Amino acid sequence: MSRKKTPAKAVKKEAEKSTREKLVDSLRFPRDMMMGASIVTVIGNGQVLVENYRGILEYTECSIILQGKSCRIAICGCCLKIAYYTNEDMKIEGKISEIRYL
Amino acid sequence: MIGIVRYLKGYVKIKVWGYSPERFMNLCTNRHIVLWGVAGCNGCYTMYLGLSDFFALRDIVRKTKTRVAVLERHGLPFLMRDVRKRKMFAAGIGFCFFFLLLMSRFIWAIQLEGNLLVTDDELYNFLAAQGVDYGVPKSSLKLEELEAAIREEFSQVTWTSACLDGTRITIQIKENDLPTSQERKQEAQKYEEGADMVALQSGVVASILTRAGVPQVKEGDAVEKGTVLVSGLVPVKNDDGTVREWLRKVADADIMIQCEEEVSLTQQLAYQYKNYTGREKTYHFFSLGGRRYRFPPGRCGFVSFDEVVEENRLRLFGQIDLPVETGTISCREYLPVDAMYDEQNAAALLNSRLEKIICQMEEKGVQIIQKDVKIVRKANALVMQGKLTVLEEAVSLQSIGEMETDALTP
Repeated sequence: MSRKKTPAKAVKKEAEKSTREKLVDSLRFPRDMMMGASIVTVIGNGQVLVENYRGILEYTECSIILQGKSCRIAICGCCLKIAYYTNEDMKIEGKISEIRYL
Repeated sequence: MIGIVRYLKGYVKIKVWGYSPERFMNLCTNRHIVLWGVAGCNGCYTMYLGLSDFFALRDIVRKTKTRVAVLERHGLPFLMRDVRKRKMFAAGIGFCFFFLLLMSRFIWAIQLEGNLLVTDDELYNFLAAQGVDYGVPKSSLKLEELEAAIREEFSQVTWTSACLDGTRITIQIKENDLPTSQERKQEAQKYEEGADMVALQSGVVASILTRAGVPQVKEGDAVEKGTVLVSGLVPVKNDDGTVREWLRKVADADIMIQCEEEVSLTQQLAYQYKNYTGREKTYHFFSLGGRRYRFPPGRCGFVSFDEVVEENRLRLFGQIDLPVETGTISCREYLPVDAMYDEQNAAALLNSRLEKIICQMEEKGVQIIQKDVKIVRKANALVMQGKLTVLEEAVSLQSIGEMETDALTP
């Protein structure tokens, strides 16, 4: 039995998402708590603070790919180092050239 | 603060390599192991973690098929392990702290501030007599009693403050410039029998305003040195005009005398100045127990030189004064060179000296009315000669003599 989503189901899920978003917006709840959205704070091009992530997928000197709840975050640059790494947040230092959501 | 806590608990720097180092890091965070200083290089990762967390890595390493090697060890637990091998060194540090703690309970510096009339030696001797000296325990000091004792001993002192700052005691003093009650009493006793006001300089009386006594001169009178200007003997007359008795008073008056002050200043044309050669030697020294030890030892080797000494009291943590002074001595070599002033420069020097004298006189309340000086050359010197016409209160009190009083007795 196939479990592949039909286009109609996908559209319905999109609609549900938007409804949830609408609800969060209308009640003015913080999105990071209710939706599990990652918080990325960039200070200049040398520091990035990331909160609400699940883990590290890939770490090299030139890129760090993090797994968020709903998307992946790729931080690219050179000489990237993780100043600290805890369950809650992490701080990345180095020369940052690009931040992408995958 | 975090650094101090980490140091106290101990931490290690590890290297991780193998199948999935990223998963290794994720599992660490899931188990609440904090990582910091993570850096990646050529497939290897280095990072820091706490010592207690390091022992929880075994399971993670097995799961992630990685390998871990310790690169560096930091913190107090490792230091303690090393110290166990150097017991005497650790004991030395402990003894040093104990010694400092012990020494900080005594007075090692005494600082005096604000004393002009009372000399430092007088105060030091008095403090020593009161039990305040170098090496005295701080707990034995009673500052309020000491302040009271200083005020009681020295009548000139109107206010004192003694405060402790580390191992230093600071005595602040304020003195009374006006004559003390004791001095006033002595002055009154001196002229108990009355006093005349006499001239200290020969000249012409420019003004006279008498408050007590009988004036003997008037404005415009020429007076000699020692002339009685105001008599302290005040006659009490009968109705017929005869003197019934003489009252003895201390004469008091404002009298300005116009007189002439001789001026004679000489400036030699030949003089010697120091021509510094630029050669300089610096020595370091420390003073202990009144003796100065210089490094490197020996003489500087210069024939003529100036010595500049910079001395500092050794102080620990800016608070604890130690009985040791350190500093530097700079010996600057010079050659004495003979030279001659030309007449213009020598005259300028004489004029500046005269100006200085005039300033000093004006500070004493003397008014300069006329300046009549000339500069002449005599052999190898310039001489300034002349006189200054000045207006000054050149008077003083003089006790009424026995002879005088006997003659006046009716």
